[in-house]
Amino acid sequence: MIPRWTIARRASAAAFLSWLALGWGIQGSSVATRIADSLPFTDPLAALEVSLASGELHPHLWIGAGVVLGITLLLGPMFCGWLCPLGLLLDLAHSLERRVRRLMHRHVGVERRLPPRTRILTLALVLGFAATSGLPLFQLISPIHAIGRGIVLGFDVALGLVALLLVVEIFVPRVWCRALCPLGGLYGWVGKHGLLRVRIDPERAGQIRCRRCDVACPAGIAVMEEYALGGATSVVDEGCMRCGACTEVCPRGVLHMGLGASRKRREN
Amino acid sequence: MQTRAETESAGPRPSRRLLLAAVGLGIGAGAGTLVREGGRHGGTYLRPPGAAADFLATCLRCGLCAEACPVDAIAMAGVAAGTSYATPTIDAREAPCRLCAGFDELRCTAVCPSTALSAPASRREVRMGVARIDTDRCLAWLGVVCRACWHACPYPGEALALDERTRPSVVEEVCVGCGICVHACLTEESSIQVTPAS
Ligand code: SF4
Ligand code: SF4
Ligand code: SF4
Ligand code: SF4
Ligand code: SF4
Repeated sequence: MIPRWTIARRASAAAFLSWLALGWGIQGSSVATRIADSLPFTDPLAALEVSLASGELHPHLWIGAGVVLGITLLLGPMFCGWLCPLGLLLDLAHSLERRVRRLMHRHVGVERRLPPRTRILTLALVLGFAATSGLPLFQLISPIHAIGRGIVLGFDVALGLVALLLVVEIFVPRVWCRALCPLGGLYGWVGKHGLLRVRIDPERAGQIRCRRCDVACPAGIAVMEEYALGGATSVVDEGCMRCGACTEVCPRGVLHMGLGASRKRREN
Repeated sequence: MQTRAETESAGPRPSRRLLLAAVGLGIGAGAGTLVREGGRHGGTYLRPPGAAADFLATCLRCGLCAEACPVDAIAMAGVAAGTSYATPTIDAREAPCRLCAGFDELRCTAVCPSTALSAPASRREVRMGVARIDTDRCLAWLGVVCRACWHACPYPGEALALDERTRPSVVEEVCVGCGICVHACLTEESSIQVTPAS
């Protein structure tokens, strides 16, 4: 089965990065962009940090951040899979690592479940620091912006952090996205109930128990064990990055990414 | 085995979440207090027009202003700038702010998504800093006819006045601090410098 969702996702994130680099009709970086010199899109974590650091709300700033938060609330943490430059890099590294492991006939099993709750801790840490220090620290050291701003301005020190993450990746896949990223934590929390999520066809669930979805999930979510067999009709999980990997490996069409309840492709 | 049938949701219970958030806030706020006391205003830089007093707190470090500047006056500060890292600075000797001459708005203030840069009521209201002349170096003050800064200044005769011996002096109430004079000065090291506002 062609992993259409994954291809579209990666193409979108790569296109976003190239667009930023080229700057045709777009200005700014992954922190804040302006499209056609009018539409603002602002990183909501940057907006939160700056509001806390300066002790002012800056309504102007929240227009751009509000748009992003609104999309996240409605659809889910779409930034993670579809735009985030670091997410793209780690995603590619992760699939490369799995491919190599398979080639070496190493066992590829279910990822250890890292509690997504630790991202709440890093998020709170970053916000607490901003409030008392008066510095939006994460905007200085963010490895996400190291790429998304570095490509615009030429260089960014936090690229060192990106290199470090790539090494750590070999030992604990997607550990940054799953357990550390404060931005992902914010998006995961806001977008948890977003409509675009993994939908489970209850009629087909449980027919075969291959657990391929559980193995495929980079977040270590037990899609089959916890959700499908539990009778859930969708995956509502703060750690789900909407990457679609689980839906693409399912041999029976139990899972698909969708906005509403599972379609029944096989009536009667 | 526990299932999620009833709640359809996995993840920590709210109380656990609150606890984690509280721990994070506590550590973050504690560390932040130390930094604030350690003096967060690391260095003064010439900023683009309309810079907020609390600049380090309000700037997102997005780089929009630098990209928007038509004369490439804005450079994002490097690591050496410490807490000012990735904030916009202007090296007037290299490339001064031309106050967006020929544009109907100051581009950097127009694109800034924050209130780090906000448009002043008019160009004359810009206060990036104040120019100061080193009379021990300035050619005019050494007796040579020069007027390079005076010619370059957007407000000649107002921000920069010439005396009867064509020696320039800065009228601090009018000078906008753009640094065009700094760029124009003929001496090897500029004899006129802008002291940044913040
Ligand atoms: S968790 Fe963070 S780094 Fe990972 S994709 Fe989301 S925003 Fe990007
Ligand atoms: S549950 Fe599916 S869509 Fe969500 S992170 Fe895991 S594999 Fe990706
Ligand atoms: S006012 Fe114009 S010329 Fe001056 S720094 Fe801003 S964008 Fe550049
Ligand atoms: S546009 Fe504003 S927020 Fe962005 S880097 Fe410049 S001053 Fe900072
Ligand atoms: S004196 Fe120098 S800094 Fe002041 S307005 Fe004139 S050119 Fe600009």
